[in-house]
Amino acid sequence: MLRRRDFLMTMGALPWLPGLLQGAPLLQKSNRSLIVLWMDGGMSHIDTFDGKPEARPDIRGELVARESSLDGVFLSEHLPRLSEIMDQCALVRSVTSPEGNHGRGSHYMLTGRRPSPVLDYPSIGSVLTPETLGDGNPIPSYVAIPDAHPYARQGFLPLTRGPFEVGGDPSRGDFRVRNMAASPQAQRALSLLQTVDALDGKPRSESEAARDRFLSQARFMSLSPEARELFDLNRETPETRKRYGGKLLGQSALLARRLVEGGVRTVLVRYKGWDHHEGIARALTYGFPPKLEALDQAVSALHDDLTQRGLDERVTVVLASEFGRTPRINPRGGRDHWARASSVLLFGGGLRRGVVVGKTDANGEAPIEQPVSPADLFCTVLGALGADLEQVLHTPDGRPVRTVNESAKPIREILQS
Amino acid sequence: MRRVWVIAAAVATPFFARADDPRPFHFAHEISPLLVKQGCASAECHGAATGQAGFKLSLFAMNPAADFAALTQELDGRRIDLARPEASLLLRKPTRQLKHEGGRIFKKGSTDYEALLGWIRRGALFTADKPGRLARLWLEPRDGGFAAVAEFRLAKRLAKRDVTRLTMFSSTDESVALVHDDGSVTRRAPGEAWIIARYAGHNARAVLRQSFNEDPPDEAPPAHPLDAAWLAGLESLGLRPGAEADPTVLARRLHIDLVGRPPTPDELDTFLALPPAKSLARTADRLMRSEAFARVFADHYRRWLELPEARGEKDFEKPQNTKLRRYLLEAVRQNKSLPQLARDILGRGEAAGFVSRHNDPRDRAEYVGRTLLGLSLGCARCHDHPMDRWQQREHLAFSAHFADARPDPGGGMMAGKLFLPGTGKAVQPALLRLGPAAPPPGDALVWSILDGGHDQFGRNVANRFFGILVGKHLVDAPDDHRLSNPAIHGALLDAVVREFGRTGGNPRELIRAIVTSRVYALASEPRAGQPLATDPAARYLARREARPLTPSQFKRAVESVLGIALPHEPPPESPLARQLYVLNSGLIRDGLAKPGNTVAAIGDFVSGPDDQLRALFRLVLSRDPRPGEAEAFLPTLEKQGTGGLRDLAFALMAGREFGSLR
Repeated sequence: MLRRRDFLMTMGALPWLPGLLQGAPLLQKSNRSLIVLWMDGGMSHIDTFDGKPEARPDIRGELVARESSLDGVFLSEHLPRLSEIMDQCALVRSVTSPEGNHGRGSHYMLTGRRPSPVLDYPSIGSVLTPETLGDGNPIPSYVAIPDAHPYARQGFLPLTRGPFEVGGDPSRGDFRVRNMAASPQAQRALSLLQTVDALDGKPRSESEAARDRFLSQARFMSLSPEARELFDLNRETPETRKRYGGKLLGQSALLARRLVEGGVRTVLVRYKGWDHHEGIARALTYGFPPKLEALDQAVSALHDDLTQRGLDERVTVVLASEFGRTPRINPRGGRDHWARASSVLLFGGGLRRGVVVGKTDANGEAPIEQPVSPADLFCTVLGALGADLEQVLHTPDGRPVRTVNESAKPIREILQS
Repeated sequence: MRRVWVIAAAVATPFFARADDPRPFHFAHEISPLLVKQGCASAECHGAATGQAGFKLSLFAMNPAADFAALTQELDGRRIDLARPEASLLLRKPTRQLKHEGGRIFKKGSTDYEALLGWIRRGALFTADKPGRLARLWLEPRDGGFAAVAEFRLAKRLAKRDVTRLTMFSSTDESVALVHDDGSVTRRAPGEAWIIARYAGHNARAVLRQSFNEDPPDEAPPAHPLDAAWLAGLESLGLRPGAEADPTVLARRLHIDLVGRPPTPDELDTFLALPPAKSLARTADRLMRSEAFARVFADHYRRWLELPEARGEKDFEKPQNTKLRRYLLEAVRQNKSLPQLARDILGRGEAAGFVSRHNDPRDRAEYVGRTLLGLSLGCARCHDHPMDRWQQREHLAFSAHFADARPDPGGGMMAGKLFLPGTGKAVQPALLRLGPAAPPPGDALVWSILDGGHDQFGRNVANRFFGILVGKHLVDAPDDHRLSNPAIHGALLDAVVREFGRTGGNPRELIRAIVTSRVYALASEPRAGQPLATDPAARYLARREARPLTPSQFKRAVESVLGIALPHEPPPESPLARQLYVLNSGLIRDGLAKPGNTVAAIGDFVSGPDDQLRALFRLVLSRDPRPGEAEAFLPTLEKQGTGGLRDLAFALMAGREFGSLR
């Protein structure tokens, strides 16, 4: 059995651990956490958070929108629970971007930077990851469920700041974090392994020293009951599990809550399948479970759960997607990519409640009030977490790059203080 | 202790323009550099994309005409007051006679103030008296520091001028030497630093070396051409060469580098039977004839030429990429010369796909720049680069070479003609000017990259092969060769480039030259008594640092040790996920459980724990157990028999040494 204290002692016994990078950390000794619910593929804004009940049928679509608990905000009638808690959330309806391609759009949203031919930018989860190795936390700082989007990675930052992918669907009965369950052989051989490494002497390079640190972390994760519990959804009551919804999104959101409670800084939940070029109304409302139902249940449950547990000032939640979808229904009954307008929902730490920012025109084509760029949004989320918005990162060749795009401005209306 | 300073720079010339010459004047030579040096045109101030407080200068004043217009015409010309020069905003703001966000930049009466005042008094002109063209900039040693000298091409003669006052200086390593605004230098520690000077869009550099004052080794001059250059470089820094790695380490290193797996016990015996220098050459020649070598190097080529990795069957795979990968494999098998490889890539055959995979001609140009020349043109797509010679218009003109005659109907909407921003005129294609020679008739593009009176293709290839084999690029990043990014060991890079030239770009001969050199055989640990992070040898000896086996190397190493193929995926990239994989994925465990694996064979056919332990260590780590290891592990084998052998094999393969390439 390995406990957190043992891990820390192992760490203390490694005096050669490199203090990798200098400079002030982005978050000063903060216990804030971030959950990103990533609707992969492009979530239709008109069919979710920016309903246009008065628009023509080929715009408003087949799904009915109703006014939510927030004045003037129309949500799909398939989002009844979210509709009720809108007065606790902050909604940005005027996110607008020039990037209408999945890869480029995701890059802009997840890194706060438009793709560049010369630099590979780090994602929000990676910039929030502490810079130095051996900060004593045996739990990974940035976790992706079930896996990370290609642009949700470390970019030009070191590999050590990339996401840890759980690599499986938490709603499955046999869910286990990939390679976390200790094999009997590994358990038997661990003391031999320690002797093998000890007789090898000191690490020969910084990468070997980093490997030692990650081996300790891997040992902790596979052997300590504490780590196993952290990822074990069976520790939740059946009621709680049911409340979040039994499938991928619900159980991933629940796992995200467990992880932030256990000290993980950023959790990215990747929920694929929003690229509805055909038959969008049916795709959103049928299936196991229907997409909108899963969304409604998981996000409202996460909201209520965080509030009940008193985590709502510590944990910030963002629901976003690479872009919205075309206001006009196409001949195949679907909607195509539409980056000029999309909606992003936020709630929790650092954010005001019951605020709506921006507005799109009558057809949901473009913002007519307070347009917000993905860079502004990135900056706002960091602001909500209390991060230093002036912080500078360094590329491997030493070029300074601001964490937040120079021209980005936080959306003051939704930030507390 | 006497420290020896070596200063290498262009030959000093006493010739300067006489002070009483009627002074020709150019805004770009006198005023722009001043705005750069004072930081006015930096990205944080008026050089920002949107300017600052309504006043915008071009970034690093790379566009003097626009800056001149901004100063003299915008704001109804209020920035300049010809009637009362002292009242000009250009002077009152930076002296803080008026409110200035950026604070006080210079004092009234200072040299810079007087220079600006004089310019306004003389009528704030853009040019006067045929100022000529700035032809050259260089550094000359002066009082332990440097003077920047510029040569101007006037109508009938050349004129030299000391432009130190207007030049920006920087040091590539401030922990070694710090350079001040006036070109003077503060020396801080032994080592090498390059002083970079920038004036009016031109760059120059000079090197400063401070000796470590270690005793030179007492040995005969080496015969190997890379060793001679390498030792000469160390001597100029007063550094002793480090110790060579143990022959067993060299055997493992060479096998993993060339065929992606550790040596078998038989191969190890063969290697150790001769002195390392001989063994390295012979083994390299043998390994380079194998199919495993072709696969390993085809993968290195693939990464160099930025082709995506082959994906599993499930994923959609572009047939073109499969073809290109096959082309690379064939190129390594046939030992195709590297210039021929480049000709293929720039030609119209199957390898043309490397370039045409990119739709936008600008992407194609940048791709060719990065991969074949090791040059980053990308920055110049958006702005002229202050530390590079490439300008936006050169980038566009080179890109125009790669434009299709008309847009590809099947997509590629960016192809077709390129247009100049602003004017809307079509860009005339032009080659990058890398050398002095003029293009012959025929395929000028290939000529300009492979020949053109320069050796940039060879430098790029030499640097990449060195990086592949030693795990460290002499110029890092390998696609960013430029004046202000010098090689960590310039003499060594020059020598590798000469080998490249001597062999006509023959890849196997280039590899042979590198793996038989002393720098390849250096031990990878810090020299005695040196801490991990600050060992100067790691920097100046260009020695390798122990690095993790790549995912495919790790899997192949396990398979090679066990003598069986395993169906498992290779380990993930993320370092934590990798360690979890090593412990729990089953790759090692399942392999050890398979009947007929080599570890099981040791249990069955080698008798006695001593011999078993020795066989296991030679199999897994390519070396004999050390006395401490024998003492620690023999009891396991004695007491637990086959199970103990398996557990120890697991621990060795999960261990630090096995997972590392030292």
